[in-house]
Amino acid sequence: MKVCLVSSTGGHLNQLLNLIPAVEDHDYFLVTEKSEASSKLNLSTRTYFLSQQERKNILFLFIVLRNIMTSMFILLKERPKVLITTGAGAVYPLCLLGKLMGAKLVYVESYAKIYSPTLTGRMIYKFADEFYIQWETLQEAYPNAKYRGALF
Amino acid sequence: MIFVVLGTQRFQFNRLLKAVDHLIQEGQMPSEVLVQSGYSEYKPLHYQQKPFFNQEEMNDHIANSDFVLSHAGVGVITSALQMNKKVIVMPRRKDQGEHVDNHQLEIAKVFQDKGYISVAQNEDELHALISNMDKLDFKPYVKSNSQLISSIKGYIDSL
Repeated sequence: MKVCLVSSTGGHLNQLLNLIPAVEDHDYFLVTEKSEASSKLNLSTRTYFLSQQERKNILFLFIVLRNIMTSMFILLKERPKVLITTGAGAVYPLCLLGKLMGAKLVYVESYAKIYSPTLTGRMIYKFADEFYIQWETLQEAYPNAKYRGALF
Repeated sequence: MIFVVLGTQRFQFNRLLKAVDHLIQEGQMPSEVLVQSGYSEYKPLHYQQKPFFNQEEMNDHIANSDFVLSHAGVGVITSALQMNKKVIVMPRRKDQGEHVDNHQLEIAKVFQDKGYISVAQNEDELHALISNMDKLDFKPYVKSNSQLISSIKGYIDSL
């Protein structure tokens, strides 16, 4: 089965890489944000890059549009059956488009937020097929989320 | 070597960089420092800094450090703990323009309550922790026993 692991850079990517044992029996590839921190990742894994997307940046809308195009290109080329994501913002178009193209979507809410949901989490909760939280304290915010312990 | 890590957020964290600079100036840093400064613009007087290292370099520097001084980022904290390193954390704060919210305070508290790390909220607390480094007692890190991986694996296999 073709599986796409997708996240922004930094802590989200760190958590995403922790999920590899769940997919290593499948044909998986990575999508993350281009940054110095994410360069020279494990080169044996097929990796695509989105542009870093920051709400503060004045080119924000332009970058979002470019990321939507890149996401579309990746999805058409790879046709993944499952998308697994740990957030954040930049991955939203890929998750939404992927879902529209028939892929199943698995979301793991960030370990970094204990008491309140993330913006990306709230947006993806509406259409994710599997939604996991890493803190039981978030069950109230996401009544249908699954708690199966944390990655750390 | 002490590895100082500010993470990849597009927010400054000059407070920590200034504190490190002052500690070096006062001769309070027990060994050399290597600083990953991210998007902070503070220009240090007493050390060199580099904005980013890639994943592999980060792991090498953590492995080669005497201890890690970091913002409260989950990735760096858990990486350092898994390598049995002592970790001192200063959380980023929203009111200082260091992050979008105060979740780093929550993360720092959770790891501190488990006895894995020490937390400094400001330069004075950091000073006190670093001068008592030898006496600080940390619990060995135990990764939580999680079914998360097997649950996701099970879901994919069921498709």
